[in-house]
Amino acid sequence: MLKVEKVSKKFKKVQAVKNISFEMGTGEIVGILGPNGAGKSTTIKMIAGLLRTTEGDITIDGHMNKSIYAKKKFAYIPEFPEMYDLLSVDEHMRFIAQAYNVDSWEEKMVPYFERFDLLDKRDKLGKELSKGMKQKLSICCGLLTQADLYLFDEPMIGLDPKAIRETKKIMKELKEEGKTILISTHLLDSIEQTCDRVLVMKAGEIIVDSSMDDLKAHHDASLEDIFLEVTEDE
Amino acid sequence: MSDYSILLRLEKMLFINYFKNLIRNPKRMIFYVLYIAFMAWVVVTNLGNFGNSSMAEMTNFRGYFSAGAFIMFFIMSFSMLKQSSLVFKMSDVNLLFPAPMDSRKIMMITLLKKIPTYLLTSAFTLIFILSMIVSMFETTTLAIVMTGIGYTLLFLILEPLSFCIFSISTKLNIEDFRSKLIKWTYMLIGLLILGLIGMEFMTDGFSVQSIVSGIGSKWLHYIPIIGWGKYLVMSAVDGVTTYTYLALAGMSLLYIFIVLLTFYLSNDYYEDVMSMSEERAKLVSDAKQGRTKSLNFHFKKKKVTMEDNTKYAGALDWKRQLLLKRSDFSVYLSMETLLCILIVIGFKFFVEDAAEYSLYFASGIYLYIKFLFSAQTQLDHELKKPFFYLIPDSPMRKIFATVKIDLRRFFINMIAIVLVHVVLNQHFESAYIILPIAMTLFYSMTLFSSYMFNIFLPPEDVARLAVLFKMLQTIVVLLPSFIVLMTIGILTENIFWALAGSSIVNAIISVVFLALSEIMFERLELK
Repeated sequence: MLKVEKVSKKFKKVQAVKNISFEMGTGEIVGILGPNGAGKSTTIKMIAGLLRTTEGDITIDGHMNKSIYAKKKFAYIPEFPEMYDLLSVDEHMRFIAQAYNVDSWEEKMVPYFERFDLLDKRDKLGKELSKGMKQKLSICCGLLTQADLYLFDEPMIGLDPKAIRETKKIMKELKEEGKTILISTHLLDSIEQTCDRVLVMKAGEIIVDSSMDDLKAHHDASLEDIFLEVTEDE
Repeated sequence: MSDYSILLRLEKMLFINYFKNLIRNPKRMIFYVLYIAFMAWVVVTNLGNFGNSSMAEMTNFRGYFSAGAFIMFFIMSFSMLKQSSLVFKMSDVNLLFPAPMDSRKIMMITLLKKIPTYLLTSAFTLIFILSMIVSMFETTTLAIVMTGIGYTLLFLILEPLSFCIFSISTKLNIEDFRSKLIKWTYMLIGLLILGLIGMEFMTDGFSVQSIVSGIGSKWLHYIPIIGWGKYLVMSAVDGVTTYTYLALAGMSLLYIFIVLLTFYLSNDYYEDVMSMSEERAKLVSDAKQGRTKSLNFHFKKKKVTMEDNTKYAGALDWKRQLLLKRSDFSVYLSMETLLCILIVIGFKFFVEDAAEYSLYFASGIYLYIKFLFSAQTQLDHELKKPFFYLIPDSPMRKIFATVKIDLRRFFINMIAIVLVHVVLNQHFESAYIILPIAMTLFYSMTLFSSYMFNIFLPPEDVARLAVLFKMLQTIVVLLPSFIVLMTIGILTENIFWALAGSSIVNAIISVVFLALSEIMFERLELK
């Protein structure tokens, strides 16, 4: 579904991502871990087509990630959920439904709103929502696209415990539906509970690319201990 | 549904919701109605005041308008071209950019929606200027239309142009060269202006009029964009000539060319506009919380030591002193002091036959500038921070501790103005002794009254309605002081006593505001 091939990203003199490569198959949930500034968000933004790659190619379902075809295939849930100040919750969903050509969007969005307690906020404007509410709306917008690949960039920040639980459940449901998920988060327990595979990034490089089972079998420790061990400065 | 249709529907929803949201907030509506009434009053006053002026008397105004317009467009275009000024909202970045839509269509709709925005902005701005121009100069409807079109075209061109330059430089990986090229171009125009001023000095002598004539020189009209734009904007003042049509044709063709170039370049621009969009989002968020960037000149001294002998509210004074010591000449001497001295020197050399009154003019200008910016002082910045309310001390002491340095610096600057004036002009009056005290008390009153506006409206509205607030402040707070100043002045014909009387009134008003600080704090804390 997703192929990242020898991708690098340089911001002026800073090499944010160094020659990384990985592939994701259909129905896979992959977590990206790494300390601050490791290049996780840059990688996700490059996949979403918001940033150019300095070198390398990214393809989604065999098409270049910036093509309209590829864009129809993925949904991006950003790190900072800035929504339109003057669009209501419902209108955000309407816009997404139009942009991604989603049929019967009103029926599809209700279950998401129920799970994220947004049903009574449907007429609220974007600027009237709290940060947590915006994050919930952002996730709902992403889910409504009915995409095949979901790119979650720190989706749990600002969410209440119930919403975090719902997000994890939804990820598992999406996996069951055969959807592919790439998630960047600092919440290691979320990765541990939901992901099949882990990519650990440090200073722009992937230093670990392993399935969750292999990782635990080799290290015999919690993901937190493994993460701290592999990212520790030498 | 086509991409254009989806994007236009989005804009329609945003447009309708803007008005719905405005109507839902009656307090805002009242202030906006007041603002419109204020604008109408300005327009009517302008038309009335200048109605009987003869053209001959207005000759100098023509020059000042021309020079002022050129300087404004010069600075504005430079600041817009320095970086990609085509910014999107972060909501666009999050929702629109990843969506399966053609990036070129997103760009075209963005440019399209700028047209009514700039038409409205230019109409809004020109209402003030044109009412005055119509009354001062014999102008025509055609000339006014040309002025409006010129003003709008200038804005419409600059945004996509800055995007094109930025986009080309990032695609060719010559970003450093781009910024140098823009600087060199503007330095070249700057040198040209200096040359023209120099020529005026040689022919007409060393005067303000020569500077104005140099900046308003016809040779500058041939510079694309700013020269053409200025010529078009000046149509209402100078009339419509053949060159007006040439400038209009030049600007229109340039706009079409830049739009086409933008379309060609906008196949891959998300990264180029993202950093600016993030920066803008931060600025908007800061402005909503009342945090605005200071335009002051700053040093960056790293190692600064300050004696720590303060407690409670005194900590605010200590913090302010430390920051000033780090960023300015010293705690008490600033760039402002230098500017004050330059104003006095400027009056001495450029304004003839005004030695007697130049001190009052210079002090007046300084105070007026401070008055205009009195809602963006340290006190207003501190009031936005939670720790200000948490410091265990009385509100009065906290407010006084915050403004103490500002008042001292103002007083020192006033003394500098007086001293330089006395030395340069060899002229002294008894009123000069009380002038710094009177001005400082006047300034203290404006400071203590300015932050009150924050109580009534959210910061975003305070910024939008700044002009209205200044008008209300002038009427409510500054008027008593003016009345006393004028009354005593007329009765005694002595500036010293007039200033002394006004100082007493200002001191009383300042004390009243300080005494009310307890109640105001409660309101501010709630907000």
